[in-house]
Amino acid sequence: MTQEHIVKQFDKNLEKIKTTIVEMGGLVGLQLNDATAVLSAYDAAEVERISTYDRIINGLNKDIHDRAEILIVRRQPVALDLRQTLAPINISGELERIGDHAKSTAKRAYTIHTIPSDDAAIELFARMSVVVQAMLNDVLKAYEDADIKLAAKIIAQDKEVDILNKKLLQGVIETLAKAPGMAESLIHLTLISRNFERIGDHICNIARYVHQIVTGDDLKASSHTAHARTDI
Amino acid sequence: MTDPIITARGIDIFYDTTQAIKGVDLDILPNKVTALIGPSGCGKSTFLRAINRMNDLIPICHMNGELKIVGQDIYAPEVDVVALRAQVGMVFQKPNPFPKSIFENVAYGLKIHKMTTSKSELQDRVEWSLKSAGLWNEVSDRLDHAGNSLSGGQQQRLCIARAIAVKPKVILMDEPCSALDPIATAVVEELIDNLREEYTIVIVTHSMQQAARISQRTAFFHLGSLVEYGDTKTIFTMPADERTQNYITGRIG
Amino acid sequence: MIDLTKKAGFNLSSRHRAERRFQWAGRSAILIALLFLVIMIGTIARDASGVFRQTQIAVQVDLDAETPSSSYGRIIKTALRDMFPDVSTRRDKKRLYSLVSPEGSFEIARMVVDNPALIGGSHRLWLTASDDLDLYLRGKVDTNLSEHQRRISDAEIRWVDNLRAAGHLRRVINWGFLTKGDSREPEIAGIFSALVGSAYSLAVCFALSFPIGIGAAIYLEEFAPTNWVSDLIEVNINNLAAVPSIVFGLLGLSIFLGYLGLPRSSPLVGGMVLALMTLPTIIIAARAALRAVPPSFKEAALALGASPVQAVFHHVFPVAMPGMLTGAIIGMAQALGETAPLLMIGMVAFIVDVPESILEPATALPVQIFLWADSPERAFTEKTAAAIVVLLIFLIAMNLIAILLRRKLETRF
Repeated sequence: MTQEHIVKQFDKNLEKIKTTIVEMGGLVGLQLNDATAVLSAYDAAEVERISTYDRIINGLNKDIHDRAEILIVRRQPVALDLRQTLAPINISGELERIGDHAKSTAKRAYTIHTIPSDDAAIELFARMSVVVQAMLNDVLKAYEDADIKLAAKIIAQDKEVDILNKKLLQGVIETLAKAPGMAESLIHLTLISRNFERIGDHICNIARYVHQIVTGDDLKASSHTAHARTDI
Repeated sequence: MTDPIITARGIDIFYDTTQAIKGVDLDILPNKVTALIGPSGCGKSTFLRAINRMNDLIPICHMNGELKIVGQDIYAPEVDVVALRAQVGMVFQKPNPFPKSIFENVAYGLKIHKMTTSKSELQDRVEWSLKSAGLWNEVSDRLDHAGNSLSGGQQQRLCIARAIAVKPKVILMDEPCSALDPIATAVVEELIDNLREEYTIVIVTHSMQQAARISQRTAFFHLGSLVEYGDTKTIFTMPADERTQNYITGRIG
Repeated sequence: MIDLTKKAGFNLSSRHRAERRFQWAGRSAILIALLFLVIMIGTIARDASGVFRQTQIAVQVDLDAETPSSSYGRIIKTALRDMFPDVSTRRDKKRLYSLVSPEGSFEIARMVVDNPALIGGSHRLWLTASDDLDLYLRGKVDTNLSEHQRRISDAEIRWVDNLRAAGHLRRVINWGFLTKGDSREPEIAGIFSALVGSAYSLAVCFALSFPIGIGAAIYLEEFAPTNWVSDLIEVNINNLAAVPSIVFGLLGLSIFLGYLGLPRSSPLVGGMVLALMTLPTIIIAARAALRAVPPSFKEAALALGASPVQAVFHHVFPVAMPGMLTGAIIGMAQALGETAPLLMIGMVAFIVDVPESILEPATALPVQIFLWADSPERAFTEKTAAAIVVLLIFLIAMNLIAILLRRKLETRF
């Protein structure tokens, strides 16, 4: 879409940040996958793997910060380049938090296997996971391709996750009334559902950052006059 | 939005048959620093020199269009170009103090325009100019030394003092820092920032970072046309035209 | 591994040889030039060396109060007869009298005017000896030649030897060379009138050519529009600089002398002709000096609101001044040495009196040299060489002034 920089190294630096984000996103996706699998059938190895990925993801997060810092020092980026340098810092943060939620989900999954739980809920989680994982893959693709249409689709898709979350909460409330003894497991289920909902939100944030990189508009800001501050 | 102090409409400037500036419309706002940026040969210096009619010195250079300063057409037949240049000052790329003393450099404009009536008034004005240019502390004890015994940055500030001594309405600067080292540049940039309270400044610069640092309005010229003109913040964060973006991000020459 | 020695290749030995060859060629050129210079100056100095002393002969004279000045000549003759009483024949007597310079009687007159106490007594006065006596004393006469081939006869030689033995001869510094005007007699000929004539001519030349030349150069360089007219003027000025100087002499003859009727042989006309000749040189040098001024000063002045005339005269002109002055003085030095145009306007005449104003007839140094070189007397050879030395000193002095002025004006830059 845009031309290359005269200084090729500049393009290489930006490209490297991009691929690192995608790599990080890929690992987070694997974490999500494993966490979902653990929900159905506990596997200690998978839980272990999630922790391993966690360490790598932290390393990549630091790497992105460092690269962005050096790029600002070296190139004094403006306009598009600046957005392409600053946004990954935020995106990386969001990815990291997604990873944390995946880890927390996996840990909780262990718990529910030891207590009687609701199969319907697990079914729901599977569906939520599918949606969320698809969203994650899409947002990474949207980031790579600077595709704001795809980013918009993802934001819309989050509603689906929210609906599923609400459905689960309703189910929990109903079950709680019927079988108070299942309270412990129901709480865990609620929290797991909330994790997925949060993951959806974080992916939405990444989609907004993708939009901001391309257009400069911050979709989170409520009004257009946010840019008109003259004392900056 | 305040009234512009300089308005340019439909400016075409030719060197013989080559067109250097094509159909430029531009409003310069008062008490602001306006930066003119663009690649080499885009015409920004030519446009700058049209504002104080320094292009008149080049026989093959001729202009169409209307250029008004404070509402007056500066190319009208009754305009005295000497009067124009007494009110529109210029600072050049390479510092060019006269081969005279520091005092004489600053006093020259005051003398030829007979702006002071007594010797003490002249001395006061010279002192005021040097203070405004941030040079007084460094040279007050050697006003009779040659102007070119100063360092590059000091010489440029002397040239600025010389220009502001006559209290012009507008100061034009053609790449004033390109011959200076980073510290001298920073000192001059600070000076420019202070000066904009009293003067309107139009500065041509090759350094985009400098334009981003010191200007409030930026105009991007490309191949003789004015591509984009707006608030500096906007130009450098979200330029409207792709050519502008390509230039400021270093994507084309 | 990196080889930085001579054996590293890169065609080094051949290039160094070429360097050395060039150095030696340069040195030889300088040496040859210096050699010629030394020979020329040495020859002239040697030829001129004798000029600065003259021989004087002592005569015992009686000065009466009533003796009219016209009879000082007879008094000298009497004194000589007294010294050599055995001289009898008319021819010998003539030879005897010729030992003292014909100027002798005028010298006594001047002495009496300076010191009236001399009257009424017998005094031993020192008078200038003749040029032949002087030449003989300095050993410049070839005594091996037969008498007819010499200017000084055997009898005179005997008398001179006698006088020398008796202590009646002495050699003194000849200030007259620099203070007196030209003369038929080489022993009293001086260069002063030519010096004054040259000085007046150069003064007129400078007064005319410098302002006009500088003004023209400033106008042509700074104010004249660039069109074919200016190009034509520039070409013509360059051509005029190459025109032989005698053409300017012809111009002076026909217009200044013929049409305007100005006094012939005067430094005024000489100066005007020289001015015409040096104008192109001054204009060309001044234009080059103006062009060498960095345009940034003028630009800065104009941008401040100076008018074009102010910008040029306040900023360009002072900076160009050293170069202009150097060009002017070089032009003057050139004018000093010009003979042909001055000959055409009549400064070739034999002028004895020192000119008092620029309207009186005068001669010039190079013309004087020309005249003396033409004279048959042997003694004038020395005078010619001495005059050349004076001219060279004058030229060197002018060039030194040029260098000093330039240095003084440049330091203010």
